[in-house]
Amino acid sequence: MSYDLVIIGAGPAGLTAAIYAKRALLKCLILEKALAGGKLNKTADVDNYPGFTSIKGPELAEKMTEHTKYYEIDWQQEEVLKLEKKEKEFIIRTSMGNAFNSRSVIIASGAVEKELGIKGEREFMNLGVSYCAICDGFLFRGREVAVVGGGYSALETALYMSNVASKVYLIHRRAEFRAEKEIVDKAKKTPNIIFLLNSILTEIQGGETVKKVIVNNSTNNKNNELLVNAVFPCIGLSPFSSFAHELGICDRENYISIKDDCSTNVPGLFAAGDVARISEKKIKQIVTAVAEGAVAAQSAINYLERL
Amino acid sequence: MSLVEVTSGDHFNKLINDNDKVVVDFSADWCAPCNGIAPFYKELAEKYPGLTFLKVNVENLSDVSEGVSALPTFKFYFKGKSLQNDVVGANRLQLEALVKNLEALTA
Repeated sequence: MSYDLVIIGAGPAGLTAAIYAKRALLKCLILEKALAGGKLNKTADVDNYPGFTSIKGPELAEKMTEHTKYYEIDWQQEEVLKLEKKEKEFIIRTSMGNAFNSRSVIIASGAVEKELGIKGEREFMNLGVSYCAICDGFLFRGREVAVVGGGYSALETALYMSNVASKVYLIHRRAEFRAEKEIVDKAKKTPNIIFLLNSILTEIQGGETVKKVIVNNSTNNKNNELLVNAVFPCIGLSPFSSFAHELGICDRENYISIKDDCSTNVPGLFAAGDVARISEKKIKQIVTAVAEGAVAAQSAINYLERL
Repeated sequence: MSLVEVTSGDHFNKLINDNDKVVVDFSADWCAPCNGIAPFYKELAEKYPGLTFLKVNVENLSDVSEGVSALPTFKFYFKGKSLQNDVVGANRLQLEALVKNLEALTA
């Protein structure tokens, strides 16, 4: 099967790109390995997306997906393993052994949560270590938990868990937060969130599941034990771009380098959303992903017209 | 029997003990990955009629869900005993592979 455009990933960027592409009557396919909506599905409340004063992440994901599917787009739930370009056509190979051909491609595969890289993290993954508080948080209701990080997602996770857990330790390596002041203030006013600043989580321990963590205070270099049943690492994201490394489009941190029009250095190949980066100053928000999805689609349309 | 919603701890124990090959989906309404894989789980229940497929809502049945620490979690039982080979997360390929393994088991 050959397409005008294949979109890899169905998060906000990919879904928006698909809407624009279908409205331009492109023959278009979405490849998504998991759940449409991407990280929206792991977001409790979205309070900064225009049109919704406050909306649950999964609900916004559903609305965006519904909107995209209105255009009767081809959709396959498959993981992309390799993206190649042969002459003027791309070949996209998937985990199901399929190969799709396309004249253009938008990579909107997003990013996955970074691991802490400490002892016990992998051992207790899904046994108390979770990267999705809104999926797993309820299982630790009434218990004490730890959230690690200083950005928006760490603060949001701490606030979400404060309504579920008896106590939330927010462990952050610095004294200041990267997150917006509003959400930091909200967390500071929440009595069962305990701030552990200038502190580094060094080890996760337990039996069958997580029982405790070791935290190093960097100001006095002392280690403390905290008895917690869950750890939620929220220290940022790592782009999901391994399938495209051979094309030479990634920067040293594996983000796909794009220009203002979302094009890469490979003609016909575009990128949008969390996987892509114009500069290190770029913010990663739903609105920016959506905007890039639209720009990438329009650039693909322009490219196909010139072919 | 295709897909059964478990209503109590007793109901769960009866289904596990009365059926040789059982797959259990531990999930919750508010868990997006759980909802995402639910149609596929239903398809599996129809595709493998020799197995019993159960669904446990962890919010309502905390006693049955003891030990579940991530959602969704799929457990597999053969002749009333857990095979201790849980699938954690909405991994369709892994889930179907273990469903096939369970189907192939003989007494």
